[in-house]
Amino acid sequence: MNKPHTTAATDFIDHGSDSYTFLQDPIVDALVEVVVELGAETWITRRRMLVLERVMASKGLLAPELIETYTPSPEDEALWRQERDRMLKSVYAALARRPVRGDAAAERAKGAHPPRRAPLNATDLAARGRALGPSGV
Amino acid sequence: MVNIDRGSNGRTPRLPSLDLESQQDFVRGFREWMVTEMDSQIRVHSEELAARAAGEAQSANLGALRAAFDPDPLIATRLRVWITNQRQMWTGLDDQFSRHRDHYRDELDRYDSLGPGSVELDPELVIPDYCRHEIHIQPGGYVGNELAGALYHYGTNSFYMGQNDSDEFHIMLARRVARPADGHVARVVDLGCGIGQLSIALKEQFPSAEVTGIDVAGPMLRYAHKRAVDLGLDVRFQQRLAENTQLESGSVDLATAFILFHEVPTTIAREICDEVFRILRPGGVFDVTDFATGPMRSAEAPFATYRSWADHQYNGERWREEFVNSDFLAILRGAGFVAELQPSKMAWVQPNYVARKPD
Repeated sequence: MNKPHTTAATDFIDHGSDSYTFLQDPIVDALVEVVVELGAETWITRRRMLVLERVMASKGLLAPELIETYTPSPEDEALWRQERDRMLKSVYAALARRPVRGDAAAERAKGAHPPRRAPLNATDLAARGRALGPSGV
Repeated sequence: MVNIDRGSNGRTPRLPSLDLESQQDFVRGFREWMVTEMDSQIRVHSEELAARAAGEAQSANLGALRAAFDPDPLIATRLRVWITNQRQMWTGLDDQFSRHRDHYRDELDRYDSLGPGSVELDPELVIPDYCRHEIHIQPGGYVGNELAGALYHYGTNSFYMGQNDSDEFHIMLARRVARPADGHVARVVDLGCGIGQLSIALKEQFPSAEVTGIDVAGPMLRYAHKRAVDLGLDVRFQQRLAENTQLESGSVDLATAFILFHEVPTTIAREICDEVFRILRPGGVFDVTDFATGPMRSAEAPFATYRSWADHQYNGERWREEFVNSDFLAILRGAGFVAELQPSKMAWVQPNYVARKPD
């Protein structure tokens, strides 16, 4: 942002507002910023859809009630439930984890009896792929 | 997709893309939620913390409030989301305007020589350090970004939560501005005019008067002039310091300063008041809207005191604490004015200082 300007602009004092930390750890601040940004992105997408519906309706390309009264097929329901659950798991994953301080987790991994997990094999990976949905990466 | 010209919203051109407009709409909505829903909890919570911090004393001072509030998770989160909201507002606008910098630069270049009215820039003016800060953490501040005017205009539109898209607040201020007792208003000067919203409203209110807007920031004045041209209003914008207007003594009937004084050090505030006293004619009026200072703050809620400090600390309001801890009414009187307080026309900035130069 601190670029030279050529027209009626002069040097300024950079306030450095991108590096404030208010919470216990800078990463917590960063996460809150991410959450607020996600809210903005969600609203930007939703507002564009509202505009899209209005424009299509005004051009006679879409009757709004067709969207409101659309009855999902059983296949739709199954697919959408999968999509909904994927989104819920993805967005709220942090709340479903037992919080462990980073240094404590590292010590535990280095300890005499570190927690073991089964290897991630091809079946696991395929299951993860399904959980990510048809366009998941 | 960017259209640049998407029509107008009242007297303000719509933002150049639907996504940016939606992003700013989110910023407005989030801000409204923050100051209503979130703050309703914060107020109760902060009162409890402040009472504990005060102990036996009647009330806690800023140091005690900070000791109680700074580590509190709820209040820390409130500060976090406030600054995030503020940065989100600026970043969205700055990204978009910077990406199309050439378009907006060409537009300003073209308008510089158009009328009615004029913009007079002073390339020799030494910009004082006190106004080089990123006020409100606006990228580049008012002096350091050639597109500062557009950024400020759309950013403050979001700050006003959509209630000032057609300069409604500034028009209201101009309608209710204090006038000389004899009613004679032929020459008006708006100090620290920024993007000229009040200057323009004053010209609409006093169409036969000569209206001049003065500001230190060239980029803001260029945008002010562009707006005046678009609205067909003859306003003269000059890049000068409010403490050195270079105007003739006793030549002005009405001077205004809307939220200028908390952006300058107290020493400069005194110089500005002396300068306005000099340029006003006997019976002339200086109408100032700015924050409450010194003795007026005794009834302030603890969180308001803390938020004022946080605004100074985190939001680029470099001189706010110095101003609110001064006694501005005494400063006006010290310059020779007969000064009194009136209720402000705007809820979020109190009060209105009305200063009259004796006949």
